Amino acid sequence: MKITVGIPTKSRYDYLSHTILSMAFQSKKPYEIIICDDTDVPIDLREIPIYNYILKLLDEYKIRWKVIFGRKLGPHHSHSIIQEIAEGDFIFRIDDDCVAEPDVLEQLSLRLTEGVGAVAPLVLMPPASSLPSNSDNKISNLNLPNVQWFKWNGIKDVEHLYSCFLYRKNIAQYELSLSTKGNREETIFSHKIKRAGYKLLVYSPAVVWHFRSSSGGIRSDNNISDYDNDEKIFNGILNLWNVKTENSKTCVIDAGIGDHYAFKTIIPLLKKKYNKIIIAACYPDIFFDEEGLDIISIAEAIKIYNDISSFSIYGWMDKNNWKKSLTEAFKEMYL
Amino acid sequence: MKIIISPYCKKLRDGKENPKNYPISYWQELIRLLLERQHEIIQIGQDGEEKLVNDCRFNLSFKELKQLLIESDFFISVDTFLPHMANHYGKKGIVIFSQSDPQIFGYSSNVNLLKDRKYLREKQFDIWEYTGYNKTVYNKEAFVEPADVIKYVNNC
Repeated sequence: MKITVGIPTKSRYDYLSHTILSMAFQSKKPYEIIICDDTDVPIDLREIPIYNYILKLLDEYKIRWKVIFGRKLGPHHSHSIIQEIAEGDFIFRIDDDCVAEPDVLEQLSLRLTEGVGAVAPLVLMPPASSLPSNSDNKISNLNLPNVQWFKWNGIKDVEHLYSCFLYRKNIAQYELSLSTKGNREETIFSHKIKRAGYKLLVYSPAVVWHFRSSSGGIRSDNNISDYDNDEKIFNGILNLWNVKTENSKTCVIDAGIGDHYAFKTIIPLLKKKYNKIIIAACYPDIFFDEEGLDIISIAEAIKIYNDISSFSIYGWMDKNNWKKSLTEAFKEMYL
Repeated sequence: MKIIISPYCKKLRDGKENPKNYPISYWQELIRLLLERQHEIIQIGQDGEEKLVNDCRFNLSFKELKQLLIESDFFISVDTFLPHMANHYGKKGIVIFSQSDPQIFGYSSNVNLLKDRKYLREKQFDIWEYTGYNKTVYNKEAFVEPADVIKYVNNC
């Protein structure tokens, strides 16, 4: 099995070396590693001493490598380029702030049997948590916790994958209309593989550690409207696929008690619009007299979304130069 | 009338006085004026806060606070959580502002007392601990005086 490792990267030279090294030390060596660099002012990696050593190590292990400059249009474009030029029949995609355990490729390749289009490892942030009971990778409900984010034992047949996975080349094409954030790009891509008649698996013995970088990559700018635009594109694609979503809404109130009450006032309007409302709250007891809500903690919201800063009402009001009331801001944000 | 007062905002993490807190001397004068008029005053808050009246009910649950609001006639508060809670449960009151903007953080159903918009801090959405702007420091001048507050009590 000839495996190409594809690593899109942007402004993460401090993390990228760890990613490449973890692939060099795989028990099943990849055929090649392709790094697609979208950094604004890219550096020749050979000029950085640690990279010079790592690239020579790849030579030592007879792992072919390429560093190419991307289109600066987002990770999905980089993945698309990698798929075009990959010499392997299988591609392992890994993010540039992730580090794979040494047996990941070996474990995943054993599971990429006939009829399987892609196999994913667990993608954990230390300290890793146990699998919540409501976790699932259903295309109809992306508000559920993703099974790849938690520790568990076994193998799961799912409808979409996140972040890192080993896949058969050229079954699906990347959705290039998304913004430079590429929000939902792997969800769309992996589900296309499923729609082509292949299974998607998550195999828990294979583990990749996510040392989440707060900058670089898709966090290189704070343009929140990109997420909204990508969400519209994603919903349009779901519509084309006739996927009926649960019409749920998740609200994250990582703010003060008064802010919770200002938000609480719009709950009747949310209930009119959505079948299911999930609220992540700092002060869950405030909702003691409300029915029909799923209340979760802020910690659980962070596990689901990794980054909840886009839910900040104060960040939203500041960005929009808001002059109206706090309750009106919540209405505008969530309705 | 039965009046709830909420004199204090959440303490700042740097230990400094919260710029939204009505000066203690003003609270004392306001309370004196209210008691003169035979009003019953209940102070809500957290352990460790200075008690300004005899009837202090600290560390109440949200359920208990809701009940107390229902039983009261109105409230007098600084820009803290109470006006938001009261608005949700349909209770009106007087809110004393200083540097936060009542157009954003206030409700039209309340009497929102702001001495002058010139005292509003420039960046309304910054954390209060940020001292990058002079207006974020405590400023007693930014508050209306107790005599101005008492004028509105009878209308509540």
